[in-house]
Amino acid sequence: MSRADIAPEHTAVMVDSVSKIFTQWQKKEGGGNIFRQHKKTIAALEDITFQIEKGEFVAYAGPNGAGKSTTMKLLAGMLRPTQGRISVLGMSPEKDRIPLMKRLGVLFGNRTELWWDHPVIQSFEWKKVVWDIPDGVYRRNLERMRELLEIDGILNTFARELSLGQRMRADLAMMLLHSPELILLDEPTLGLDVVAKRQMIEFLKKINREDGVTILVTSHDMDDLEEMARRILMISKGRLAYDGDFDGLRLLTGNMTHFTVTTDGGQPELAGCRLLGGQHGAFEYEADLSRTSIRLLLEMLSHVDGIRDVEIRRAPIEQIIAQLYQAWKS
Amino acid sequence: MYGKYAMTVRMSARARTNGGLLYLVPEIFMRLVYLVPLLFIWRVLAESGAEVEMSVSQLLSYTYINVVAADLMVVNTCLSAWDFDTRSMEMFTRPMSVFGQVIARTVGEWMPMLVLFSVPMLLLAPFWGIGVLPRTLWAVPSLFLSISLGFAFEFLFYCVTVRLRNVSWLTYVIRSAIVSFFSGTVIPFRILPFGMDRWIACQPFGSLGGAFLALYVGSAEAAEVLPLQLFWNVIMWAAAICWFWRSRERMVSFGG
Amino acid sequence: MVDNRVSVKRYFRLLGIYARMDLASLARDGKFMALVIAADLISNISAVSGIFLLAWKFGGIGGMDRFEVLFMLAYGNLVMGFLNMMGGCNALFPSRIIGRGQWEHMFVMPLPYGVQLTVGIFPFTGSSTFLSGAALLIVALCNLEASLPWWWPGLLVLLLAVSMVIVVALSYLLSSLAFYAPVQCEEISSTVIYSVERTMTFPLSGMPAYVRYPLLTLFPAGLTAWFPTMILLGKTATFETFYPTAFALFASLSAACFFKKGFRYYVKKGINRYVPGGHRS
Repeated sequence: MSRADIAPEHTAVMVDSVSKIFTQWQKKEGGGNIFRQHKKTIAALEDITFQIEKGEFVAYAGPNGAGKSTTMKLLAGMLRPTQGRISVLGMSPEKDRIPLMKRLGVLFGNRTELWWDHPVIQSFEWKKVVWDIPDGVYRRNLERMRELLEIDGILNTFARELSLGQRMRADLAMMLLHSPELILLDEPTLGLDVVAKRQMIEFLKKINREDGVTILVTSHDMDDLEEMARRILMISKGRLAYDGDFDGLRLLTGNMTHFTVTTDGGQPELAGCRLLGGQHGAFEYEADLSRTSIRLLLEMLSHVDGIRDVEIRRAPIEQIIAQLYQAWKS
Repeated sequence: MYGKYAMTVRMSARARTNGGLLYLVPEIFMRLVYLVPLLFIWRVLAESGAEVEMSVSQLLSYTYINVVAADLMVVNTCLSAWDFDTRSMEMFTRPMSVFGQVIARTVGEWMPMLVLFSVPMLLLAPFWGIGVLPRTLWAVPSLFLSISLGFAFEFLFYCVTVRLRNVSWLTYVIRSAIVSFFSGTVIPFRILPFGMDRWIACQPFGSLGGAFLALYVGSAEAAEVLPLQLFWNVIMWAAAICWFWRSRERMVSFGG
Repeated sequence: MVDNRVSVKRYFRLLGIYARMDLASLARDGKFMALVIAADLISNISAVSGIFLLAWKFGGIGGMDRFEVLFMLAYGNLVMGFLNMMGGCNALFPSRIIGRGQWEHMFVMPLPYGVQLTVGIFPFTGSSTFLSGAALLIVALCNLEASLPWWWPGLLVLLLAVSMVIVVALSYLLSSLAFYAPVQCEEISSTVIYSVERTMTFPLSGMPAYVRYPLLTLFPAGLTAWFPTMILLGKTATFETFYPTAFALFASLSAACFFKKGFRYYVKKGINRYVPGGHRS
């Protein structure tokens, strides 16, 4: 089968009925024979199917051990699927690893691609040769990374001496030097402080918007994911549990909305709304808009005595996801 | 095509020298500390008047070349360190052959000591009465075969380490054992008692540095050594490639 | 006021915890245990085979007969075997702890550094060299046919301890450099220890003085097996018996002095490098 048969032109990633089974040899509990072990199979992914179009920014989420990193490794050609087909940029990661790597960027937040005992710039120069990046492209990208990621001050610093935030910026810059069409980011904001995280998020949004780079990103920080991505794929116990936008995800647990009512006096009684807390005349409630319509809610609020202010906002995505994870667990 | 490997060699070499050449002095000193008494052991044994299958000059050259080119005699790659950090994953995310990357990095790591220790020592050898010219040019292909076999063993040992759930010190113990005896680099097989040389040279580790050194000093025939080295290269590389790919899943699935 | 001293009882309890952990790691599966034992066996046989086979073939080396050479090899195994067994958690390789910034783990433990460094023992996975040394020593003694005085075992234990102190002192002395150059000197202790291990098996008898003396002073590998063997076999003058002990005292005091100085520098300057698993590639 030719590469073109696997996925259409506009598709960046195609995962078709993919399963990944790991086998482990384990000692039987309480077994008397210390030489006897039994084989245990673990289904990391089961019959996963999804497609990502070029230029999309997709979040990939799931609880610990759900199979996120396994998926990333499958897409990067590090692992082979037990079943099913994968196509990345029209290529098979398994068969076309080297040409694919020239068009793909991979970054695992807890690892570094930088040469440890070298200044950062030397790692960049190494990448230029290994990825065979034309001079013009390298210079242009380096200039851009210097400007966007503010790496000027660390280019001549040894990688081993960088702080985590600096290292992540340097790693991100290095990953983008060859102008990858698709980037896979596994926990890129892991351990970053607020400023570094903001920088990273803004940068990713910018390259997605302006350069059309397709991005697939995993993170446990759901607010970050919501801010970055327009679509979210959620897996649970190796299965695809949700594929859609963040608003759709909210509807899964009811259309929850949080609002704060500030009054001159006591706590207002609002039917169908749950009080989350309150002090100094400001009370926070949660309402399910699929049951209590916004019209009804506003009407109830208009009757509250001494009302001074109302602030309505969507329920934090973290809370929605936590409810989902909890539901999947049970 | 080969530029990326050459660049990797350069980076790897510079990683050892970036901190300053001064820091390589302890290693050079320790190599000398090992070499000098070992050379004198042969002189002491020669003075005992016992009959030996190799001449004193052969024994001295054997030991000298072994210490001077120690890194090449029994190959030691970055793989043994990588399993600690589960860094072997990196090998799969670069547009390079996995084996090629490891080989390039290792060759790079050899460079500083080759330039700062091996070359000067080879030039100084005649002043100490030690012959360093090979007895046969077959030693050249033999050196490549022994290095190649060394890499095959490294990949095999790495698979053992990965299978043993990253107990790399165990691999180190086994490798050290091989270095000290079964490779024949320290004590030439030819002078072992009980006719051990006949069978010990045939085991796969015997085709490492010891085989090359025997050819180099003329204590073995090319017709015996080279086919055996070739044979073990084919067998061990086939096993290494096959097992390496079978172990790939364990190398990259650590931690998620 | 809180008493921060560690009682003997607590120290032994800590040793016990490490010993149990070591046993658990060995016994976690049978294949692993079999492999460890096989690897240790091969390693120990190999380590002494070369020199002993040479001694066998030539009827001895430089005035030492076959079993005197075996005794020396056994002594070396006892020294390094005991240190490997007791020096788990890189206690024998302090430059690694310093170079990787792992001293920070030690800062947060409510135990004195000396205790932390000495309780990480490997009595099960790390004892094979020591045990093989003991076995070889018995074989050598049985074949030496020497009549040994009653105090000889005491002298053996004393010299073994002295040799161990010298090895440890050498490692800590040079590891002090890692406080100033953590990256470059991370592996300096292993370079030293492995060099001692390789060189200690050389019988120095018959070698010229300009080879022997540096190995008894500048790089005292000769004091870790060969010279004590000569003392124990009665082949030295009486006054020479005290030399290893005097050297051990001098070396350990120097090591303590330089290590403390380096440590003070480390505490003041800190280290901008932390590698949990080490970085040796």
